[in-house]
Amino acid sequence: MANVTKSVLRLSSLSRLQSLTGTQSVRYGGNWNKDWKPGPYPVTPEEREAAARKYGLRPDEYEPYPDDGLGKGDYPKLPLISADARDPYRDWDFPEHRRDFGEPIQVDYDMHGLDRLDVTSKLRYSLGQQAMAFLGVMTAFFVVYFYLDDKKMHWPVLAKQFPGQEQVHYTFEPAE
Amino acid sequence: MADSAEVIRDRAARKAAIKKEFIKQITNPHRHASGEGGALFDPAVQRYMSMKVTLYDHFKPTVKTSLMGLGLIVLPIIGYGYMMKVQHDAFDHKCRTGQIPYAERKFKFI
Repeated sequence: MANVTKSVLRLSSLSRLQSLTGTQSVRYGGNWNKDWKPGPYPVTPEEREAAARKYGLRPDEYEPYPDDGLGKGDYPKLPLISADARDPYRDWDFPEHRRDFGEPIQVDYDMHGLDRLDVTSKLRYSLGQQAMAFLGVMTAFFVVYFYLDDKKMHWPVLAKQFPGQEQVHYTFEPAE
Repeated sequence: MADSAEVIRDRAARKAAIKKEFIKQITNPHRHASGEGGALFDPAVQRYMSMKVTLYDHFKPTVKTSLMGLGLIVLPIIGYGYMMKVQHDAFDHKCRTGQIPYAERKFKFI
């Protein structure tokens, strides 16, 4: 108990430094969405600067999404760089996400992780080339199929030979 | 994409300060004692999570969003249902008027 109290007292000097990263040594009520969600779209220049500071960006590189009904409040528009496209040899704080602590996160970040979409890298074959390759192969299959559909292959056989073709052997009238 | 040297320096200084604080907190053995411990709280991640769940707060019904809702949600549902009904009614009529012989039934290969 005394050890806990002592260590908590020593932590009081941390509060100054922790204001830089927003960490807190002791959590009382947890983190609520209402405290951390993006605010309304910033209209005045003061609001823009305050929002830029909140997200850790410079005011000249802060740009919110337009408020057209699909906007995200004052959340900034960040460059979209897939995780796959980031330097694999740099010492990231979180190497499995290729991200540093405190780095602002782009809105579509969850779609562009290491195991998901990669839109930043240059494709080995462009999308047009991929489409042409697919269409070429499928066209070749379909052409071959439909050309050969009515050409049958079987052992060389004669037509079935019925005895006495010119005679009528039986008819199908009901027996009266 | 040429940022001035001052911008680059400013950005690097910010990043270095955050990195220094991160390493200090990650290697802080007293974080357990305070009761926090575990994964270090990242305010950027928290802001991102809160943004993702409160997107509806900034939704406004405009011409564009209304058309999107109609065209991507209402129209496919109603259209698909209507197409199914029309197709099935035609098949049903054919069945009831005896136009489909047994040899041309739907699942004759299984």
